[in-house]
Amino acid sequence: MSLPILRLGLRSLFGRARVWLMVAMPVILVALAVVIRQANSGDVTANTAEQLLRNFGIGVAVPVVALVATTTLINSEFDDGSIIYLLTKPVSRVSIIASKAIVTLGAGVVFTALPMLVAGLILRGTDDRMALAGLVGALIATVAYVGVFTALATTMKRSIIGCLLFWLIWESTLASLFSPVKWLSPRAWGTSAIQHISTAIDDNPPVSIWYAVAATLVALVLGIVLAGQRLASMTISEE
Amino acid sequence: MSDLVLTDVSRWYGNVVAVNDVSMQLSPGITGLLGPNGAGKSTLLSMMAGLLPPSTGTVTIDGEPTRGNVQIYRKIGLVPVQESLYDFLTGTQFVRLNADLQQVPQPGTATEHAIGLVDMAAAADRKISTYSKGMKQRIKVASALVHQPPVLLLDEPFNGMDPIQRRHMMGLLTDFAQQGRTIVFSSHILEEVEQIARQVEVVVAGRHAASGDFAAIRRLMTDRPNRYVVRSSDNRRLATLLLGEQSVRGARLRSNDVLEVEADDFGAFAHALPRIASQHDIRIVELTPTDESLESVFSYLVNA
Repeated sequence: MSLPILRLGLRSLFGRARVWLMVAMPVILVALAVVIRQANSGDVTANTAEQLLRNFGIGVAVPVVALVATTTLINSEFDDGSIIYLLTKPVSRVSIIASKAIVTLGAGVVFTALPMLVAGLILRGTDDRMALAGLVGALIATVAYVGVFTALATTMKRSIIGCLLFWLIWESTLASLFSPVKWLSPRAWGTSAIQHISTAIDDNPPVSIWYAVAATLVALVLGIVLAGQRLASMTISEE
Repeated sequence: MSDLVLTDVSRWYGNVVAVNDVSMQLSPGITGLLGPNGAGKSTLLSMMAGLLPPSTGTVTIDGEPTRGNVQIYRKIGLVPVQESLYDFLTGTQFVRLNADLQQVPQPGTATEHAIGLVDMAAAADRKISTYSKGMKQRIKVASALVHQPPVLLLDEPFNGMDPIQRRHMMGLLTDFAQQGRTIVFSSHILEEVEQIARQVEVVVAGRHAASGDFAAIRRLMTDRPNRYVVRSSDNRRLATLLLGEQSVRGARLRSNDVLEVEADDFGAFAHALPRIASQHDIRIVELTPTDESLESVFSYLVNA
């Protein structure tokens, strides 16, 4: 791990206007939780709470934050070649990627996982482990999205569009039409985690919790390995 | 003092050979890597910088391979061609980032010094996104030399610079070379290379086409005789005198005031012409190479 790269990553992510897109996600999530709680006079059903955490939390906030963080710290530096300034330093490739991953995952924890915990607490207090379910579901989905987006970033030319298509077409549209999509869907994995952990949900979760955890780790490792390979053959005149 | 040595280096992508069996030894001083666009200069520089593994052969600095050895970067400063920088940083922050990553003992002082060298102190606290092309180029150079590397690699460093900035940068590289550093820069523009490079390596279509000092290279590159248009105060007498020179193959009076000269050896011709003119009191009004790209070579040699 490299302190200057961590600092650079923080500046890159928080020093520009795009930070507000990430800040907006937890603000909207918590605001929605407060509004729903008020509207139901403080008595929100577990199903309503789960729907907010699943549909907005896992469905929108997590992918948006992961997309902004991954595209900022990984895709755009690969695409425009500015990563060359990190590669030509006495710093190992592993610590370059690890430093970036820490900032990216850190953004996910701060902007989605913790707000999911807060939203869960607002909606259901400590009942039926809803808040914990939100936290863990968001963590799983964040890690998986970072892995998938990183993998897409390193294998596609127009990687940001690729990530958006993955989110909007694959996850949001196809997943509801073809059930097997769930095996390759961070959203389904995060949702499954929520439904497994919360004691109040009777729905049959899309995949087992063990599959969700394993698939998430595979996605992250895949992303890192592909990014590592791309780093290993970077030339000084990419485009 | 460091030597950069390439031994039997080739690099191919699938069926495409980008660099074909190149060997060169680059010593302290300025070396120009000259070649047309797409000749493989960037691929060569990438391999020199250890970013790209050669398909065969080795690249070493002082005997250590540049690939798979990140500690080698303490010895290398790289100025890539692309403009993309961390342009949300200020110039100072960017150079400081490089100093920190190089673990320079006094990063603050080193940053200030490097920025001063490229004459960017006035704009150092502005964001890089507000910089002109030439300013970006200079801040890139500052970032590459903040750790005082013995080897400096620059890919097309004069792109986008105006003539004043160009001269300033050339002066800077010359100073660096005089400190005993090994400087390699690529260019597809002859004039840039001849102005500062002591040693020239020519790369054409991935092959190492020629190597040597600039004049030698220039001669190698022009295997056909060079033609010039000359106008002088007395064309007929000048033509007679020029034909007595070894380097001149022919002289023809095209019209009353134009003399066409064909020369084999442009170096000797460039020295002969002013000598004859001054000895015989002939005033040269115009000397134009018919081959446009030779023009600057001539003015350079005449001025020297």
